[in-house]
Amino acid sequence: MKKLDGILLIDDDETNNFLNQRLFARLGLCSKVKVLPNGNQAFNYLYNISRNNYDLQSPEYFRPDLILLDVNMPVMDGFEFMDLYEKLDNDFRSRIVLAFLSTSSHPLDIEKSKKYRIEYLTKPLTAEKMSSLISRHFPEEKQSIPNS
Amino acid sequence: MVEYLQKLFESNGFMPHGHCYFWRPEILFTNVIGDGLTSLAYFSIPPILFYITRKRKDLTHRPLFLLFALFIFACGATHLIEIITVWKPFYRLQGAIKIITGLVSVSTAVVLLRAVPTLLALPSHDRLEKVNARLREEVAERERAQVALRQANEALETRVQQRTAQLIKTNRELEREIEIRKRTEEDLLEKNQELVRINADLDNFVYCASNDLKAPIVNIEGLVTALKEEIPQRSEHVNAILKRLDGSLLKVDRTILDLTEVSRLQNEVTNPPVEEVSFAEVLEEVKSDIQDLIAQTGATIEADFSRVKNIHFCRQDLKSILYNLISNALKYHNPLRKPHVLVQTEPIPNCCLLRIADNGQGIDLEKHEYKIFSLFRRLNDQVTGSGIGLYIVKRILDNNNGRIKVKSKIGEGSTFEVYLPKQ
Repeated sequence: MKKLDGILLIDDDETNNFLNQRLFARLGLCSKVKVLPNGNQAFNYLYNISRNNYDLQSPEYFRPDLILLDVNMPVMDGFEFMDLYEKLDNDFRSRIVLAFLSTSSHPLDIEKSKKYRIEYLTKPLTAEKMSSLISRHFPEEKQSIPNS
Repeated sequence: MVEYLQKLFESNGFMPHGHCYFWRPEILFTNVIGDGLTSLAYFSIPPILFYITRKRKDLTHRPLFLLFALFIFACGATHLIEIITVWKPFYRLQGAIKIITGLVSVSTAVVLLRAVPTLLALPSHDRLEKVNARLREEVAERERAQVALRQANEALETRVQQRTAQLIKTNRELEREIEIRKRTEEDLLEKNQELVRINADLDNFVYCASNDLKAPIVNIEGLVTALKEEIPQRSEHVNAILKRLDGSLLKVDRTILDLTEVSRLQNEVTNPPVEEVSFAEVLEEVKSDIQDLIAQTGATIEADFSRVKNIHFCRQDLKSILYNLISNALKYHNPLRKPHVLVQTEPIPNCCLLRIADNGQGIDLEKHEYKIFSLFRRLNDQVTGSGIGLYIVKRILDNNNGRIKVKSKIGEGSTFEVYLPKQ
């Protein structure tokens, strides 16, 4: 499986975050994982990065390749976050892959998520789900060339 | 003629009439007294006749009466002049009076003659009396009739009043009844709204429960998996516990999945996505979903969709119906024999009949008929189940104006007949 530079987890469920981080570690997927508990904090975080408003030395700040977004969250839920996120700089967004990660398999939620044209994964997140997501959005050969 | 009238009171050259009697007193006075009495009588009659005509306003022959009065007066005058001419020879005057009298007499006679028919027609006093008596009788009879009528009227009036009173009373009772009904209706409406609210709350609760329970269960599953990975070397005891943990999680998972299905159905009442669905295809999907159960029980599933192959229906709903009915048939199979399930379709007017027959344990319908389609009703405690499956099937059919019937015999098996309306 191809390695990623960084993953942003937006979810208020700590246990779920713990399990997902553990999964990433076991898969050796990436070293940088940032966890934020709601859409509001996540948006502020991404806004600052898109404007380069951050300490380049800090390991806490990085531009993620992949964002996994919960739907039901306090303060600002996944859909509200998406409405704001789509206003961010186009170029900045073009290099980020987004996916909803929700417990809900309710058709209303799935229907509502369709307008954002991003992946919809149901919890629990498994190694299979991760590998298929990555193989779809992060082709192996492209990035290996500049690195070598 | 003029000379005659001028000399009316001249008597020159004539002898008084007394000379004809030779002035013999016995002839003269009998004549004079007779004429005197006659004229006296004749002069007294006209005033009487006048008086009568004056008083009787209804007199029919008034002119005749007056003519008679004039005629008698004229006759009286001829007798008076007879007396006068005995001594004074006013023969011209006498002639004039006699001519007038004659004329009056003739005209009276003519008028009288012409009045004969009407005079004859005048009823006599007796006849009038009789008529009168009859009339009086009639009047009396009429009065009696009137009295009877009045009495009947009064009786009628009292009856009308009684009826009216009764009607008013009945009316009031009706009004009260209507008032009570209205209040009951309002109460019912209120209760109905309350039920709708409660139902909505319940739907909401099912949604929240399925959603909110899911997150921690998913987490527990993950944690159990993590635990297994962290302890690769496990004792028998730990393995037994982990196995039970897995079993419990599976059960909770299934319940939550069913609840999610219920919630989906509740929120999709309006328009589920309908398409042309093949029974055979959906059955294959269901079979692959429950392949473990089929393998475990050694079940055979026979299908005959030759009579109706496809139906215009929501794919997910049809799958749910088949899934729940077939998995029930396998779960509640008869331990004495291997389960066999026959799935058939049959066309009936406006519907497609889907029949699922098994050779399982059977259901005691007398005891459970109304319970089997209720939420969280489990009739069997030996087999794992959430008690939601048949409720889901019933709910799908309710949403689609369909029906479900069940026939069953204990120890022999059950047949579910599902009526899917053509859409």
